[in-house]
Amino acid sequence: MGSSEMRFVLPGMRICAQEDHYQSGCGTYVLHGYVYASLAGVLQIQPVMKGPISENPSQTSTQDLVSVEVHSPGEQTVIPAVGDVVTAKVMSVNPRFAKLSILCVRESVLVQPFRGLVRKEDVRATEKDRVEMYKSFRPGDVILARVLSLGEASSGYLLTTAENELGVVIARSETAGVKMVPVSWVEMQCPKTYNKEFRKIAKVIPENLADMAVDVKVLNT
Amino acid sequence: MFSSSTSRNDPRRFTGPDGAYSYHDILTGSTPGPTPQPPKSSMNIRPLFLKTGLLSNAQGSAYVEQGQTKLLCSVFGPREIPRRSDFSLKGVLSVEFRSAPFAHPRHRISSAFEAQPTEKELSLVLEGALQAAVCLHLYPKSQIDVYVRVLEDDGSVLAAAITAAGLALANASIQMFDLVLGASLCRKNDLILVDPTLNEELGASEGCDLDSEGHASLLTIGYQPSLDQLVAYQHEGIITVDQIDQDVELLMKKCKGFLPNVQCCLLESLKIQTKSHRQHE
Repeated sequence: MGSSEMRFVLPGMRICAQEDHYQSGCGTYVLHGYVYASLAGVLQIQPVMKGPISENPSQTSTQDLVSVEVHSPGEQTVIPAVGDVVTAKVMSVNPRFAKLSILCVRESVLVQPFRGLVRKEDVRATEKDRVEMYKSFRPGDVILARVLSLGEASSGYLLTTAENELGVVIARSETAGVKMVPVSWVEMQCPKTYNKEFRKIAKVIPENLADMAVDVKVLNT
Repeated sequence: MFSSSTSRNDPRRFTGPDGAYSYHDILTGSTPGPTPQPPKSSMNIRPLFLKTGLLSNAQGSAYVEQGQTKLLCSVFGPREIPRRSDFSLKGVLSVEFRSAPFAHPRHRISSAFEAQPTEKELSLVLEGALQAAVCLHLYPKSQIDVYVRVLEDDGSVLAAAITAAGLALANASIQMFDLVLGASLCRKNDLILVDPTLNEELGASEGCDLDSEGHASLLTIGYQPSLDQLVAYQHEGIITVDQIDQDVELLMKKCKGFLPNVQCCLLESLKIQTKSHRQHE
């Protein structure tokens, strides 16, 4: 498994039998008890994240569970899925919801933007009835949000920012057009005019700590 | 607007390089025209040339040359479904099959805007084939566009288009159950011509009416080699049930025959892509 040579697979190639410790990961599918490749790319066999499994000592046999994955070189063709964190730009705001254009899904940039929607009740987790959309988002803001559902045909993906880590990341001040600095979790200040504007601010985690935060989250749940 | 003679003498028009001749001459058969092909063995697929990833603005693309038949396929997406269409949990494929105005030596020049009925029909067959091959359940609410452009039509276009679309989709890293390969066959009584040229195809379609002496037919299949499944089946003409079985069997064997070529082509482009991807990092 630790071979440095890359193994290429093509769609429809049978990779292995689906046994107890082999799991079909991304870029593969299972048919008649075998794992097949569905992408043209490099075969990767990765140990499954030992989060909840390691807590249960009785399941020692599943500890070496590996996931069979195929990764295509270059950019992945991604579409937003339920539970993904996406980067989106606010296009318009009204008292009930904000319309967004989804630009990135997790780390990958989309070729073409997808439409998204944050409803008033999904802006924050507490005091939902007191949310004012204009004090949360403004057109042009770049926000982080999580995909709630695929939404309706007309409206695009339904998103939420009801987490501390989600919300506005980049915003420009109304008068000076300068990138503002967050001063509290509901306010941002313009470094030029010292005007304060209301936003639903995301608590952005530094990149080197992001992996740790995920681990902590897995342990907590 | 202009007749061919005036356009040739018009000094304001670009006359083309030396040795070029008007396509009108080919139509009337007065000048050299393309050199006649040596008669090919009836059981073999014509020489195949495959290349992927030649269009930089498409997500994936493939160019296929099968004898003189040349076509280009490009894949875009997955992208958002336009507002007006219905909600679907599965992805949607939109397939457009078009011939270039100069592709077919005998047909009238096709309109650049409106698809011909034959083009629409081939689009539908191709769409059916790809719908079975692409993992559409992984692309909810999105659409994948496949465009096939025939540059030169010398028979077996649908078969070549199926192969090209399969390659282009794999090149676009769209998840698929299997590669798709196309092959076609023309049968006149007991004479079987695998991968017929345009002349052979036309000869077959002339023999399609009931009154003619021998029955002729034209069969195209789309095939998934590792799953051993047919994804497309198009047949024109008259044929017996036994012959259908034989012909489909034969075409599947032919598909398996050129599968290594398709795989090689994809592998080559994969290697190049990974190399350039690593250099970027």
